[in-house]
Amino acid sequence: MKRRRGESTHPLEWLRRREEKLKQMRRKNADWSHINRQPPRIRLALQYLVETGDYRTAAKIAQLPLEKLILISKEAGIPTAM
Amino acid sequence: MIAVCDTCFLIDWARYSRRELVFKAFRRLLTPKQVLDEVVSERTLGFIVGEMAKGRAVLYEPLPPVLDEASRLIRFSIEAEFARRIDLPEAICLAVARNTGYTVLTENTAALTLPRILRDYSGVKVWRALELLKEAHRRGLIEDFKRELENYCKETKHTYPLEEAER
Repeated sequence: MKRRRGESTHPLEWLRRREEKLKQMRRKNADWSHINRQPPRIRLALQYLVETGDYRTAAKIAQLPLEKLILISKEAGIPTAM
Repeated sequence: MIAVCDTCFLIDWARYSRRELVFKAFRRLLTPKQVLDEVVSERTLGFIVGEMAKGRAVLYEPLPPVLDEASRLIRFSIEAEFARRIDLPEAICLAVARNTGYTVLTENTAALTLPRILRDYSGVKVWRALELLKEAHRRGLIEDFKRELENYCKETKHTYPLEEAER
C-alpha cells in the first residue's frame, strides 16, 4: 500500500479518519428541521446520506437522479463532502 | 493535458464562477457517457455541452475492456477491506486514467482512495477541485488560495476537511 506525501498513516486508517471527519461535518451542517419536513423517501435518503456520504445509494433510496439528490441535499444544508 | 471527469466533480464545478480555470490546467475534458447520463440540471448540462460544442470537452463511450476493468474495481471495492464501494462512473474514470495517463477529476472518496491501495493504480493521478485550485495558484492564476477556496466552497456548498485544505 502506498502512502502519499503528508500522510503518516496507513491508507485504510486515513480513510476511516477522513470518513469520520466528513460525517461530523455533514451532521453539523445539516438543517435537521428541513430534513424532517421532507416526504419519507427523501427524509430517509438524506439521513442515510449524512451518515454515509454515499450519494448514489441515497439517490436510489429517494428514487431520484443523482444530481437532483445532490441539489436537494445542498438545500438541506448538507455540504458535498465525500 | 487531458482529464477524465466524474459526475460529482462536474456538478459542483459547474456552479463555480471561475470554472474556466479547469481549462488552464487541462486542454480537454473527457466525459464518460455514464457520467453524462447522471447529469440532469440545466446548469451542469449547459456547462458540459457548451464545452463539447467548443471542442474542449469530449463525450467518451467506454469499450468492453474498460468496462471489464471497471467491473474488476467495483468487485475489489466490495470484497476488500474497504469502507466505500466504488460505482461504475468513477470506476470507468480510474480505468481510463490507468490506461492513458489522464488525470481523474472527482470528489469521490472511493476514487481518491483506490490508487492508494491498489498497486497497479498507484500511478493514477486523482484530483479534486482542491488540487485543481492549488495548481491554479501554483501557476499564478489565483492570488489568494485560501480566499479562493473559501469562495469555491461558498458557491458550490462543497467542503473539505481543514487539514486537507491547508496541506
